[in-house]
Amino acid sequence: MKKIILKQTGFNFGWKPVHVEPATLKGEFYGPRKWQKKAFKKSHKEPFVIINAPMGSGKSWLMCLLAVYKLQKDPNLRCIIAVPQTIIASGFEEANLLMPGTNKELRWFAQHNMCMETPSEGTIKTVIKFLKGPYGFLQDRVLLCTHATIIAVYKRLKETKQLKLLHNLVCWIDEAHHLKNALVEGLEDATISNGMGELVNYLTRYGKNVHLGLATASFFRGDRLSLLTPKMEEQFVRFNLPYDDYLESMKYLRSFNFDFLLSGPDFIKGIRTLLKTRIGKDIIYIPSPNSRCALGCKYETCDQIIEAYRKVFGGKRIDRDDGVTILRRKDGKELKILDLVQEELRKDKKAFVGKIKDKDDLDVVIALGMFKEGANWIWADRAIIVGARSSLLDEFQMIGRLFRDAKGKKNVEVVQLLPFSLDQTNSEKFRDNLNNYLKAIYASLILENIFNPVKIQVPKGKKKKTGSLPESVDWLSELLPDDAAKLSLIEDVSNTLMGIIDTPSIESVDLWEEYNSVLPDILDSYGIKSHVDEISKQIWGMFAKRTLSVAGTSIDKIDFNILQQASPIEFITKYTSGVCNIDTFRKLRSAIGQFNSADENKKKLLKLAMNGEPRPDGRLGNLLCNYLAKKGKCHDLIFEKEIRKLRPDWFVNTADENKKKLLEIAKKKECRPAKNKHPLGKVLINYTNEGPCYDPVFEKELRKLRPDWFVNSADENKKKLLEIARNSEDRPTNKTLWVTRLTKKVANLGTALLSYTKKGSSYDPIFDKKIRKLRPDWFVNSADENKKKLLEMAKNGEPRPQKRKHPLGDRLVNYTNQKASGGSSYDSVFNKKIRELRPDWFVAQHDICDEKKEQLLKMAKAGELRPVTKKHPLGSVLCTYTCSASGSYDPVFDKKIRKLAPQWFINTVDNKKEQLLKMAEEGVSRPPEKKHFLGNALSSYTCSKTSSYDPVFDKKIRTLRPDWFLGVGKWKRNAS
Amino acid sequence: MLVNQKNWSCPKKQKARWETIISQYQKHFGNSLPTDSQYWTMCGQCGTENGEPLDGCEPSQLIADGLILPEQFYGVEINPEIHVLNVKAFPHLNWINDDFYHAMVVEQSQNNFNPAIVNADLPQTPDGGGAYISKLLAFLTETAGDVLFIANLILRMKYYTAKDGDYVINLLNDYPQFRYAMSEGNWKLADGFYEYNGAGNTGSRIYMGSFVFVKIC
Repeated sequence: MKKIILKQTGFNFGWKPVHVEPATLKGEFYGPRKWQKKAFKKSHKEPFVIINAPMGSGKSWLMCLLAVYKLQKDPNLRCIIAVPQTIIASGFEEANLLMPGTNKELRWFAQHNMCMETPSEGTIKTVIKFLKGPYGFLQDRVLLCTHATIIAVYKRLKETKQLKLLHNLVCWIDEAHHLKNALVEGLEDATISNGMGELVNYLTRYGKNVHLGLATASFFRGDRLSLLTPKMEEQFVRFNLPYDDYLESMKYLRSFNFDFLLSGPDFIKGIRTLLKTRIGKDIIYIPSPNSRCALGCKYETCDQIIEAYRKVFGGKRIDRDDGVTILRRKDGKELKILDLVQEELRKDKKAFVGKIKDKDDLDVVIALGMFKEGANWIWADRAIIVGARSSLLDEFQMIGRLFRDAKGKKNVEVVQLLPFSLDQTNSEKFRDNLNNYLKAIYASLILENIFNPVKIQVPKGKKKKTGSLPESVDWLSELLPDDAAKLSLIEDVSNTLMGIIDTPSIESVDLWEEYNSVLPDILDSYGIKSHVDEISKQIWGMFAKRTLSVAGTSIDKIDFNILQQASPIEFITKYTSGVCNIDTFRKLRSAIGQFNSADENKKKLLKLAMNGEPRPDGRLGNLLCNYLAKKGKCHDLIFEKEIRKLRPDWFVNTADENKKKLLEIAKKKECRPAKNKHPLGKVLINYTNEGPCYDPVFEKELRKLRPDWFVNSADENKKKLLEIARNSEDRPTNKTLWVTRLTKKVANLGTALLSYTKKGSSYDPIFDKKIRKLRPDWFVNSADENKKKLLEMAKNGEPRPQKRKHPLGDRLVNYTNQKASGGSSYDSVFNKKIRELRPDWFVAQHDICDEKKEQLLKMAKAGELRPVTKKHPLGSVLCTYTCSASGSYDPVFDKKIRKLAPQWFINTVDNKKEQLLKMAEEGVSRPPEKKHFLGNALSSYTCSKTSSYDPVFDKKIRTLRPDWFLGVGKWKRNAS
Repeated sequence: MLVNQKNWSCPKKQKARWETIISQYQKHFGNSLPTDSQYWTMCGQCGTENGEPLDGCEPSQLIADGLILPEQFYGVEINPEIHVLNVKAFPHLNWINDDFYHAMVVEQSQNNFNPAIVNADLPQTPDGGGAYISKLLAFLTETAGDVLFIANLILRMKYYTAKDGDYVINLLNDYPQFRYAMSEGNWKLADGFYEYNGAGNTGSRIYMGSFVFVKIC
């Protein structure tokens, strides 16, 4: 037997110890919980199953159990579990299952975990290979991937006509609310589907031996489109775990509050108010920067929130390396805040969340788009949602974070912070705010009903249960399972109730009767024809429960008679008391009246007209214009005729007068009246542009008289640009200026060209097409050209183009570095390509630094002179590695080199100052700049604007030699 | 994909093979493989572009050292060009052009899988290849008898901070497939890990690490 002996130097080889022991699978085996048992019983023999259960209730475990059951039963089956994001995959990675019935122990894990693996053949090819088989053992028949992967696989199989590979499959789709299969109104069988929807459609229609499971906590979409068509849904067996049942199964969590706070436009104040009541384990969801209620920059908003916590909690702010912000008080107490809005260190922050093991590890999370689906921080007990969200699903996901059981967590609280007040004079804003307010209230009603539904006892004779209390049913959810539709129904009912009430003190009994007379029609419009009485009671109960809970009445197991006596909608007033100091209810009613009762307004206007009062201004004046505007949506011809007849004086046409004046100005060859400067500027626009005041005859006449008034500088620019293009000139840059001929404006043609050809407010598609046709070379993507050039350079073995020295140096950095220029120019394909071609161009900076440091140490050891900046290639780097203020400062190297060559670090500045003071004392003349080696130094040490300015030295030398500073020159100001 | 990869038959690689495969097998099982068992490897390029065997390449070394017979060698290569060169250079050996894991599953499904040594020489770092190694170990737990499993990983390279054995085992411990294998397969990690710097005739900035797992039923 040959033994190979290596004698070459520079090689490193040999056995090294490993101190860590390989781990084994641990943990006890568990059987299903009560609800899981029920769900298993209902669904284990069904091919198509929907599991609708709250977050954290154990859906994933049940899915694994059902999958194993089917895989064990049929050896031909394989299983794919799809999750929306890789981080959610952890719930399916392993489970210790005790199989129901047999009590057989089974260690579940997905042998093919595409959320962890990076297959060399690519994920899609690997999944297809998995579907083709063969398989080794039970777990080898399980694959875990993302929704995106399974959709891509489906598309690939469809393209390659291999869809049969999807037969004999158990497919579980987690977070199935991402599905879309919506019927198109008026078109039978036409559906709008997303990728996942198409896959589900295929599997339910054509799949052979296919077992499909959909699991979600919220079986509805934010956009209110359906997940499955009614035909598809018919095929599924559905198991719902209501929130109240889930809450009952929890060990610690017992109750839930939903509250509003109208905070005024600055919601930070609202947050501070909340924090003063208590600092909980908070999740704060701030609004998107594009939202109406955003304060502007999202990062600043987060800083303000942290500051709000600091003001209430106290302490000093410390930003830790792992992205956690700590407020540390002198008494040692800390508040840990995780700002997920700031993208920096987001990976570390996510990892931090995953590692939380203790209640004290984290106190506050600030999030915007994150920390909804799949996020797990069990100690969170309060969600503060800033702004009303249009998506119930979104809100539901946010609230869902709180519904995790944790020791000591008895109650969770959701606060919807509405950053506005209803006490506003601007009617448009008021209307918006009102809409947001109502939106939030309706959503809260639905959410509350989801978490703690009003149930109605089954009437006698319909369902019988022997020996137990009569069964209660959530009829509304039974007959209208789609929560988005429920939201819309509640909105309709609420508006109807508002319409019924004339005075705030209406007796509830009357309202109840009125309500019952109108409700059947509303329910009918939602396709609800049965159990109308029960649903009517239930919806009333939803409103009434809220009213009573606000009034402080315990609503646990409340009798419906008490609910019936409560005055619904009253709660709206309660929520704002003490915040806005207005009678919100009255305001709401009048506001709703404003927008819903146009007849009332018309009546008021006619009354004013008849009473001989002057034409109204303000809101009624605007409404009058709206009712008369022929092209407007509110135009009412009968009303117009009537009111014109009554009050012709209200309609003396000032427009004719204005037009006359404008024609006179035009004839006098005066300048066009400017929009915001001349009283006729605005009306000129109105008369000559499409709109209610447009007068084509006047426009034609005016244009004939003064065509120059209608020349748009943009038109002139475009003409000029087309001319340049035709003349084969270069593409105008942002330095190409010209003065427009007619409008006499200075225009930047480069910028103008960009704005007319790039999607935005000034974009002109016709011009864009024209100019691109004329000069395609102007629109060649310079980035593509640059990349081509860079690849050529790389192939030709040229050195890397240096940043700031070579025109392509900066570009190369931008294309290959995600962090450079905000990542907007980063091109992953090009990056990979060029790095493959020229790895030497990308030698890590730290390697270069190490080399340079080694060279410097060598020089120091050899006793060489200190390398001088700008003269020696290592001069400037020596400064940066040894200057503590520099970003590249290396304390170890600094210590080392100072020890080796202390002479390199003698402060030359102090020396120079000493010499200058000596010269000053000796009475010699001031060392001239550029001629004496100390001339420049003196100037810089005594000029307050330089970085080397030394005020002590300056004072000293000026006292010694004021004559040095009296000369006329650029340092004269210092002398004064 | 490129052919003419690094020289996998360089002395460093041969020494590493001797230390981690030949010597380890002899220490735990015997001088050579039982005749009915197989040697499975992700072998890389073993032939020149002219179809000649590369001196000291994996099959040559193992056969010359008497560890295996030619028919016991199962070389799996995912790159079809390299596979063709390998077949050309060693027509009498068993060559499979497929993914390593899949190739073994296929063979197992045909009841033709009886590995004594499985050499997973991954061109990946622990972070990139940990999941695959775990998957292989879980598969071998279920399907193989006495077996020596070698996982070869890149421990240091450009843009990748050097890792050690503790890091690799800690990382593998995160994978349920690995823990399943360790629970059910009676696997043992042998003699720490063997570290060497890269392949090729010159010094290399790449450090490789071989982790040898022994399964004795």
